[in-house]
Parts: sequence; structure tokens; C-alpha cells
Amino acid sequence: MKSIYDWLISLFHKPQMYLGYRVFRIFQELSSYELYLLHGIVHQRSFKANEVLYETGYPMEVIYLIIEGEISLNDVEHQIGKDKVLGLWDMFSGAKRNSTAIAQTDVSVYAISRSDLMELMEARPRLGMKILQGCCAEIVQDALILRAREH
Amino acid sequence: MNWTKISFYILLAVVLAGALIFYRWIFSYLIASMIFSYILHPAVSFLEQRRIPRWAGVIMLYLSVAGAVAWFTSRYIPELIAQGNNLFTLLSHEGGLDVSSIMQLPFVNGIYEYAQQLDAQIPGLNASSRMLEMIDGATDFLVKLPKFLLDNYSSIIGAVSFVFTIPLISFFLLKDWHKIRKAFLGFSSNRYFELSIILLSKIDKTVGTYLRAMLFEVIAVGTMASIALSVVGVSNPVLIGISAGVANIIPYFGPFFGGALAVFTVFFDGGPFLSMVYAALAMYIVQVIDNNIVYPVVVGTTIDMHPLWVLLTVLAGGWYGGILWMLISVPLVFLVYQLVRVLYTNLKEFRII
Repeated sequence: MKSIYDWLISLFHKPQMYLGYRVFRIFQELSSYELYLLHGIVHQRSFKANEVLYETGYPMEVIYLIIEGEISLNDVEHQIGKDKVLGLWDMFSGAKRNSTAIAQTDVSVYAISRSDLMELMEARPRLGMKILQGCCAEIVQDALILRAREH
Repeated sequence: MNWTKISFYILLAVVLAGALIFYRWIFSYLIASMIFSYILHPAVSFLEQRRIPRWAGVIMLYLSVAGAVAWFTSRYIPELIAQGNNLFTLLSHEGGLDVSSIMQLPFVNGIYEYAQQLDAQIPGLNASSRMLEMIDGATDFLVKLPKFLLDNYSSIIGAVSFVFTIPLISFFLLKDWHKIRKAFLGFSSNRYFELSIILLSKIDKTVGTYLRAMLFEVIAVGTMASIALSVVGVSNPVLIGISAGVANIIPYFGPFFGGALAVFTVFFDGGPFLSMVYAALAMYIVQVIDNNIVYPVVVGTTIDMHPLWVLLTVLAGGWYGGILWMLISVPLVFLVYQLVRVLYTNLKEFRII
């Protein structure tokens, strides 16, 4: 009976624990239920300082959402930190990594498989639209930051 | 590596070995449950996307499957048992399968008379006596067949507990699908994490898609063969149709089994030669539809294995574990080959080997 009650409640409201994903721009517009579905494919991982996340030429499968710590990329001068997404450009640009990512400090990340994310987006097009809008916003913001640094 | 780490890994290896020995009896249950879960997983996920929790989705699917099985059982099992008994009687000694009874079949008798005419015209040919020897040899083989089938049926009945345990294990596998997947990937180190995800996705895609496609194909071929054989008037059409559908799992050779079973049924029923042609034609049409419409649409790509390799695999499967392994050996070898290929490619790309 408790399971049935929990389910009825969950139809309208999912626990607050999933709302943490909204700090990432690409998931900002997702509803609590969509975040709950997303939670099914999110893996939490930790990297020590100087540990390599991936290298140029590796197959592209996972995008990393940084919860804590700093990561450097070989193709940009600055470091990438908290609440940023790593591998977003690669996700749309091809099957191989275009850069090497190394943890500068101890890093905690959410890792999401591209295949799982695409499958989820295909299964729920509305959720897919929201994530795509979020991705566009994130990429535009990255481009603006890069331009500002160049000037 | 320090001694603490080495000691820990030795302890871990001992625990794993102990666990493998302790749980070895339930591996077959676990594998069958995983296969069952792979087949149902997309439907459970589909329901989950529509706000039905996984546990409720699994129960709903179980009820639907149980309903379908109950309907099929009440509708077809009495008929299937009757058809099975009929077929066994036809092929058994008590049912009259000896040389003299076969010689009374119109088709065989016609050939025998023709052979006798040839013997009269060509001295020393002995075609009629050789024909009798051939029929005698074939009869011996066929007489042993019902006993062999019955022996296997008894083992199937003995596996009832197996069948009832699978849905229970599958329930938990399906309900906690994401948790199990996460826990499994949690064991991999950062170096192998991305590789593990790629492999797991490939396993999910290859195994899941293949199993669902095969199940659909078995049902499609079984249904089409039953209808086609009913139309041409072959006796026991449902039983032959189901057998043909299951045998269809074996590429190249499986379809011949269904066709041969249909033709032999007409033959032993004493049907005319034309009926045998109709039965073979009906099964051929079913295969044409399957090969050109069902298989390309449902499975997408055929099992790309050389016929000789398929034959050797089926034979090896038969030697290893009887009929069941003859059926599953080809898909199993194909899937393992695919996975090893993906593993090799990715190990190279991640510069691990």
C-alpha cells in the first residue's frame, strides 16, 4: 500500500534530491519527473588531481558535469570548474575527443553516457527539446566567454 | 604495489571464487532471467516514461503476458496435445510404422510398383528390394524419434520450477535496472569507465535487440506457417507451425526442418504427392515472406556467418547440450563474436592494448 501511495504522490511531485541537477544550465528547464528520469542514467565519479579524464582521439561517449574541482583542457588556456559541462562540443562534433582533459584538483563529476542521453531525448521529445535548448545556451555562453578572454 | 593492497586483492579473489562456487547452481536461472529482462526492458521503460513506476510496469506486463499465455493455453493446448499424440502415433511402431504399412501408402506403393516393373525389364537391378531395405532403415530411425522427443518433454516438465523462478528474479532485475547498471559500472576504474559504458551499451543494444527480434520472428513464422499449412490441408498445422517457428532460430538449416516436418507429415498421412508439393510450397512462401519482409524489418541485419560455420556450431551445440543448445548455439556464438570485436576495437581506440 505504501508503494502505491508513494507512486500516486510521485506522479505530481518527485523528491527534492533530483533538483540538484538544475544547477547545470543544460538541465535547468527540466521538471522534477524529467530530472528523476535523468537520474537513472547519471553516474557519479571522482578523479584525483592530475588524473586524466580523457585524451585526444579517444572515442567520445561520456559527458562530464563538474560538481566540484577544476579541470584543464589542452586546447583552451583557462580551467573549467564547478557547474560546467565537459565534452558538450565533442558530443555534437563527432565520434572522437578533440582535446585532453586533466583534473587540476580533486574532482567530483556526474558522468552521462551520450547513448543513454540520446535515447532518453528520443523517448521524450519535450525533454529532448529542453536539453537541446540548454545545450545551445551553454555553448553560446562558452563562446561569449572565449571571445571576452580573447579581447 | 604494497602488501596491504596485495592482501586485499587476494582476499577479494578468494571471496569471488567462493561466491562463484556457492552460486554456481543458479547461474542458469540468472542468465534466463537476464534474457527475459532484456526482452521486457523497453516496455517497462516505455511505461516509466509515462509516469508508471517500474515495479507497477513490470506487474502490468506480467499480467499481460500471463493473460496471453492463459488464452493460448486454453485455446490451443488441448489441440496441441491432440496433434502431438497424433504425430507420435503416426511415427511410432504401435501406430503401424513398419515396412508393410508404409508400403500400403499410395505414393510409396506407386513407386514400388514402378521399381518392380524396372526389375522385370532389367535383370539384376533389384531396385524394389533395395527400396525395401531403405524404407526399413529409415523406419528404424523414425521409430526412435518419438522416444527421443518424449525424453526431452519429460525434462521440460521437470523444469517447471525453473520457469516459475525466472519471472521472480526478472522482476527485481527490471525494477532496479538502473541501480544494477550503476552498481556494475561503479566497479570500473576511471581508466576503464568510458570503455565499460560503451561495452554495456553495445551489449544492451546487440543482445536486447537480437533477443526481441528473434522472439518476434519465431512468433511470426510460427503463426504464418500454421495458417499456411491449415490452408493447404496439412494435419497438425499448429504443432508443425510452432516447431518450424522455433527451428527458424537456426539460420540456413532451421527452415528446412519446418519444411521437412510438414512434408513428412503429409507423407505418413498417406497423402498424394501433390499435397506434399503444396506443403513444401506453403513453407517456402512462409520463408520468402520471412526472409524478405519480417527479418530485414525486424532484425535489420542477418547473422553474417558462413553456412559451414553455422553447421559446425549447430553440431557442436548438439553434442554439448542437445536440442536446446542446437537452437541457442548460433545466436550465442554470433553475439560473443560481436562483443569480442567491439571489445577489441575499443581497447585499441582507448590505447589499452
